[in-house]
Amino acid sequence: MTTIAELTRDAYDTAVKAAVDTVRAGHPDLDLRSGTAIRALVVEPGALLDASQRDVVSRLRTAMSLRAMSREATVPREDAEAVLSNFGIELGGGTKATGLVRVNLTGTAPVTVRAGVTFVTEDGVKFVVTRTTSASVDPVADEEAIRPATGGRYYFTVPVEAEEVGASGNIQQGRSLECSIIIGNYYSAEAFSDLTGGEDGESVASAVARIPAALAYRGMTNALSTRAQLAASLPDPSVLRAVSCVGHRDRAQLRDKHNPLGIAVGGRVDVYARLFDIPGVESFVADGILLGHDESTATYRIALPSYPGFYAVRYVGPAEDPGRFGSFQYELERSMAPGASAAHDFADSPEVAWSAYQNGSVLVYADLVYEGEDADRHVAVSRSFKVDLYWTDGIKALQELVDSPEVRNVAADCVVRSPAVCLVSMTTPLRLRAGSSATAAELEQAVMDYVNGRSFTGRLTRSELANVLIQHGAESVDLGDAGMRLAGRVCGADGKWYYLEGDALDVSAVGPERAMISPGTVVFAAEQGSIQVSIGAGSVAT
Amino acid sequence: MNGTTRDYTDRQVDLEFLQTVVEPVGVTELSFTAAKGTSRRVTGMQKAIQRYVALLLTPSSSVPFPAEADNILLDALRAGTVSNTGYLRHLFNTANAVALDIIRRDDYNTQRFGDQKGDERIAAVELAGVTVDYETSTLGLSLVFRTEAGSDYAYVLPVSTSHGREQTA
Repeated sequence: MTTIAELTRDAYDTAVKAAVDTVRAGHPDLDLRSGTAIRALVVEPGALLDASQRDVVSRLRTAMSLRAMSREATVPREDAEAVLSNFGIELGGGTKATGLVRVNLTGTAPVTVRAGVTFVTEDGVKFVVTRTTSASVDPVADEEAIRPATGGRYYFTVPVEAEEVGASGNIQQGRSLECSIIIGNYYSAEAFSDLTGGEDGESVASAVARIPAALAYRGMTNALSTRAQLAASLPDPSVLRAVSCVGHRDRAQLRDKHNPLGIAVGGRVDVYARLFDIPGVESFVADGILLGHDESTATYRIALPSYPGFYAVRYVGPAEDPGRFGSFQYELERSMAPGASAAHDFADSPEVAWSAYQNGSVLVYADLVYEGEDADRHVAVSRSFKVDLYWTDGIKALQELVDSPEVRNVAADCVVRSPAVCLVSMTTPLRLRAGSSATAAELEQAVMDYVNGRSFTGRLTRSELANVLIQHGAESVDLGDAGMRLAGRVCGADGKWYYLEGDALDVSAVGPERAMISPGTVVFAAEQGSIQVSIGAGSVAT
Repeated sequence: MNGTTRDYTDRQVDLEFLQTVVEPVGVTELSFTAAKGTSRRVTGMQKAIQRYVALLLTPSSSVPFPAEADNILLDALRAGTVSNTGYLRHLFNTANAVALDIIRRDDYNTQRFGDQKGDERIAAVELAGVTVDYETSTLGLSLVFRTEAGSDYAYVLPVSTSHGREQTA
């Protein structure tokens, strides 16, 4: 209940006006002007109650309304905690600073400081002794030693922690402190070393900002809530760079066409989660089984180990000397993991591409390696290969999340996939602005950061990259025939590579539907060495 | 209304909290004694005067959110700092101006409070004289009220200077 002292004059006057209007509406014959008895006996006491109730309602409105909490500069912590608990959110707690306090003495008589005794800085930050500490010149057992100090003083130390959570408890060595009790031979006290570890609790504003995400967590009903759900499941949500949901009427959504007419009927969602900037590469050695050979080439099949959600094969070479050759020619064959069809309505192998239900093997066309002697000499029936695979871990865990009963969408079948990656290469000559000290490496890194920082955009143009270069010190970028060259290649769900080149890399109409290449499934990425800038060779200004 | 010669029908009414003020013939003495028995409605000049008295003499600390200015007249009388009638007149004029400002502000706010006849509207109040009753520690303020209708009414307003006795004459 609000007291009269807590009411403002404005609140009271507003309530009086409301009371006058209300009473006069029913009793126009009553004189309610200032000084009248009716006003003193009826209107003004009633207005006081009304103003008090209005104040209570206002406080409740603030304490219970997310919108009001967001507007308020300061919201009582307990109010915020009460509302946040409705959404399963807790305020981050913060920690107390801890350390040692040095107690300076004028003598060496034994001293005991009990736990709970406080030391306080001149600006009021309190520290509490955490363990009863006895000190003497000849310490025994758990006692602290009273040690000599300069000026004929002595000292010992006691462990303390800040009374309150927060960084205010982090004080520097030597900071003067006052003790709350009288200690024998006490001279002064100070921080023995830096008191550290104090961290402020999460601000109310920060927690309030998390509420929309928490609300979205309740179900994977749209792209925003799906992204929030996936991010919340990760130890570090920031690794989830981008999310794309591919559903009804997207050409890359194949699973909702499993009917005799082959028309899209909805109810299937493919969630593409970008968990990397530069695509991760996993290298391993695997044995290939000889399938056959001719006079110059042997064909081996390598069964790929389990890398859930891998994107494509990057390189296949001889295990014994991988640096000797470039990659052998190879073909990726995707296949369904056991039980995949029943789990998520996959019809055939391309549909499992980049998901946790994808297995794979590689057909390698290698040079001939023989084994045996003379009459027994034959092409090696088994051969070890070094394989580089584009793979970033995390897809399987995300698939397990969306399959869990807590968040599973009952209206749609949801499959998580790693995105198809359009690997970008760019070469360009350029001129630097006068006074610019940018190096080629810095400019190349800027372009890489830009390309790798993009989401599911479906299109990357030379103009965008030229702008990036100009922002980082280029005066002009040659976009003529002899200037910037932009190319990309993307591996489809069908295992084939598709190549793009020109003024813009546009993935909206690349390959057949079964390649599952669309703006919703492809991200652009640039690997080290794929972006090359030549400074000083530019000729045509843009 | 006993003794009144005016038609006060269809006027706004208030509750009586001062003794009945009849249409004065000569000088009438008001009393702060609360009305006893069945409560009565008052209107007309009687309503206007008791409203003025309430605003003039209500101690500022007795109600929450008092009128705009502190009641310096009553405070000074109780503190015993009024040493002569000249100072008393100064204090009265100040308190009177505050009370009349409040009255006029509401009188002319007809949209909120409704219309009021000119014979209920106090245009001016003058302090015509002062008497002191030392037996009862009571000050008698002789007041002349002028309404906007042009009529003058003279009253003696007894003001107790003792704490705790302000409701008795």
